[in-house]
Amino acid sequence: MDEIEQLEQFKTAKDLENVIKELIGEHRDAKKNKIGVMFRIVIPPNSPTTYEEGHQGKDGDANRYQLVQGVRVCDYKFEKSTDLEYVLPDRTCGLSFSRTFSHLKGTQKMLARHAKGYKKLGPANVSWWILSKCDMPKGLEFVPDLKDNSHYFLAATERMHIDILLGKLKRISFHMNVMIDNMTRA
Amino acid sequence: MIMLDFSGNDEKVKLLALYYAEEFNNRMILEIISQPRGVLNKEEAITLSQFFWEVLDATARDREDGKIVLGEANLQYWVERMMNIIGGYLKNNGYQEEWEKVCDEA
Repeated sequence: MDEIEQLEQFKTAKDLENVIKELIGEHRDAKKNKIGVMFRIVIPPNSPTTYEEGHQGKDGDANRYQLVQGVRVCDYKFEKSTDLEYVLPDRTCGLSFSRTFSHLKGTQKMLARHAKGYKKLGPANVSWWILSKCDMPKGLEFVPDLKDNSHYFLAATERMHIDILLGKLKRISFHMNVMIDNMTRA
Repeated sequence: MIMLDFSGNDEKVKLLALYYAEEFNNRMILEIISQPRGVLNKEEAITLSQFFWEVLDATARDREDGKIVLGEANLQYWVERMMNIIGGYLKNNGYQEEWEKVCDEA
């Protein structure tokens, strides 16, 4: 594990594959259906679980990418009657996580491809959460996406104030590792 | 035959796929999406995989051009859903190899 924690960047897809597969091998027990470790792609300067204003996606009329204290309104089901002060339980949305290297690899490529504009590739860092290092906060749960079981939502399972959700997300982020994307791109 | 699943909150992904299938004049994709049939063979699996990456590029281009598509200036959220819908569908139906190969080469 020490070696992985010391590898703070990846320069090739193979670097990335080696690290991810080692993490999965070390922290997951397929027989017990243990999730063990989960991965999330992060476009800098965002944190693993929250967004910085101006880096959450350019918005249009839909206000889909509006931030409420660093949380995108498209990622959770916000309660409109409380002026977006609360999120409601919904197992079909939440922050996206990858369970497999295959899913992570595709997502990383997708998000890096236009990270700095059309056909302007940019870094897409890889973060991971070893679940034994930080228990799942109450009111959140990893729920598999019914459309792709290698993709999971970090879903809200109970109604909670945005301050509470933010506190839980920050706590998770604090325990996540981030590996910097330092791949050479044309 | 199992079809692509655009149910629940993902109806807009179907509209997005149809919009760009029309723009690319891709009859095979239009059939796969709009008719009660799924992907029939490896060739179609590859075409559907390639279609995803073409949509990703087209939406990024349209976003930069300030073009409003399906009422939105930024379809990134729906493109990400499309990846999970198409990728998940292909993996569940025996076409993981084709999906991954196209993703690697994209």
